[in-house]
Amino acid sequence: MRQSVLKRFMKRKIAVLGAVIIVLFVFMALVGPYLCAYDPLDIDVLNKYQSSSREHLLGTDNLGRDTLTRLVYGARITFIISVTSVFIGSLIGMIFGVIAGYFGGKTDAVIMRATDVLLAFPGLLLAIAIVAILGTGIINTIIAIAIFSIPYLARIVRGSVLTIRNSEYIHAAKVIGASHLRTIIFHIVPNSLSQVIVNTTLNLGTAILTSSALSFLGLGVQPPDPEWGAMLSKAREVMRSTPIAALAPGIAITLVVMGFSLMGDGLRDALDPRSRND
Amino acid sequence: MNENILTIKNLKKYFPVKKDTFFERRKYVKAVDGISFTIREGETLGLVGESGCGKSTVGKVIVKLLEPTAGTVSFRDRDIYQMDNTETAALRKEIQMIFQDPYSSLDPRQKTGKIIMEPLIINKQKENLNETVLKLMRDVGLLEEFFDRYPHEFSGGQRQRIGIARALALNPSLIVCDEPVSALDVSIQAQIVNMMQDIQAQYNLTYLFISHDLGIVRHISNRIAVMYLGRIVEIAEKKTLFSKPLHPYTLGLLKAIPIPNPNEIQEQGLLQGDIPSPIDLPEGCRFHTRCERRMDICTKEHPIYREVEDNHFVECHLYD
Repeated sequence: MRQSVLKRFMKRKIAVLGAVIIVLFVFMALVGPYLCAYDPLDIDVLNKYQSSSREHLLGTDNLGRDTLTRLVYGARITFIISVTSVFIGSLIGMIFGVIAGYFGGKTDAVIMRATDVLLAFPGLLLAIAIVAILGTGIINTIIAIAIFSIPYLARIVRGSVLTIRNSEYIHAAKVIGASHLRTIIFHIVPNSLSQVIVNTTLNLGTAILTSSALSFLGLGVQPPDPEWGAMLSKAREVMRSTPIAALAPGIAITLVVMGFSLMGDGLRDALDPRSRND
Repeated sequence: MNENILTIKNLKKYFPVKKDTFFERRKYVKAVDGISFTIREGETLGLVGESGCGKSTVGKVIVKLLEPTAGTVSFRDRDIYQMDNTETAALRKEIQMIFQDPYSSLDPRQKTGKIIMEPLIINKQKENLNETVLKLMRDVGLLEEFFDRYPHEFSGGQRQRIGIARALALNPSLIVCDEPVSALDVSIQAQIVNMMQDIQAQYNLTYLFISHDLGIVRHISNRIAVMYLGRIVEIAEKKTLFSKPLHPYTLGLLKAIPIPNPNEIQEQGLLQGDIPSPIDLPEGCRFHTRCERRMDICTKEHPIYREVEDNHFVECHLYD
């Protein structure tokens, strides 16, 4: 079964392209820092705002730091923020979704109204509000993005649990004496996991966008740490004279977000038996 | 053989219907509306009726998947709805169920061996797990190499065998079979029914066999109960029921059994019309809207369920 999912995924060229982009960026984040000639925090004011050259392939920023080096180190921060926050958010969202869907009734109503409240805020506004309460920094950015991805997962998981709950194999589990906890862990969760994987992948793109936006506004990662959104924000001032400084992080954000979206769409098609038309 | 394993008294199960407006009176689907019967140790009791007559609901109440609205269900003289948790856990080992749809009754993410093993693990029988499962698989006619395969790799008949092995794992005394073969091909049905008879002898089982197929029920049952709109209208030994049906509904059902010989002419007098809604039940006898032998009293008074002959109960004004 796992084999056929992979096969179906591989058939979608666009999805594979997304996966390749992500793999390249992850590789860059893991290995890149060992290959860089510069330190991302080394200031060299004499050479600020340089265009691309042999020494600085993507030029330098307002303090003369090498843009390529900062991009590579920034990939690490970006991935750490997005992966941890989405993982935490998905886990919590999934727990709430499973509880709401499985027990139904009042439990369901309370949890779903709570997610409605969270969903009523525009995503970025919610993140800004959370950061405003907690303060800036990497950890708080992670918390903000995690909270923001909880309601999406909770809703989606609840939906799939509602159908699973009425399957005869759940009745069968009850008849053989399985407890609620056992039924949830061994039957409900494994059967709703494909939904979770797809939506987590799609959420990763959104998370990167949100964390960059927060940093762009000066609310996320604080200088001097290299972060794509923050780099974009600084380079904005010299867009006309040194466009490369803004283009480089901008393109990096676009590529990664696009990569996650394409991969997520491909995963959804590959895991969903209903769209098995090829 | 004659001891009662399960006694059901005046069982009712109503499902609330969603109201259209707030001020409307709440209505109920009376899926099961006051039925009483007993199942004897070692027998097979067939429960037949049209779809929607409440026969599956009866099965679900017996295995505690649904709580009854009223009435009692006693297993070996203990009310199963008065039991505490330890007693309920013990009851799970005694009453098991075989489900209708073998395509949705097996968890698609579990392998055959794991599915059959699960009841053993839950009920803390830890010794020789694999051997026990393999023996069960042999008993229901599954090959040992199926142990590590997923349900989607099997045909409907094989899946149903897995479901039967799971029900057998705890060595129960009573198995509720909820239309166990109606989702299968006719050629497979016979195999499964025969296998179920073999394991009944081997494991000393009592069956409650729920079905809408009188042919199969005739093959496997000792006694047969006929349900109509939440009531048992007739219950008798198989021979009596087929040779001397008393209730007009039973008669109609028997006439509806197809004859496998094209030259023989099907008897006339098939049931006309549709089953009334279980929300707005007809006054008097529930069957009077479709009954050929309707009398005045039928539209006014509900008939009494009475023993007309030895072990032959019927609910009809014809036998007052």
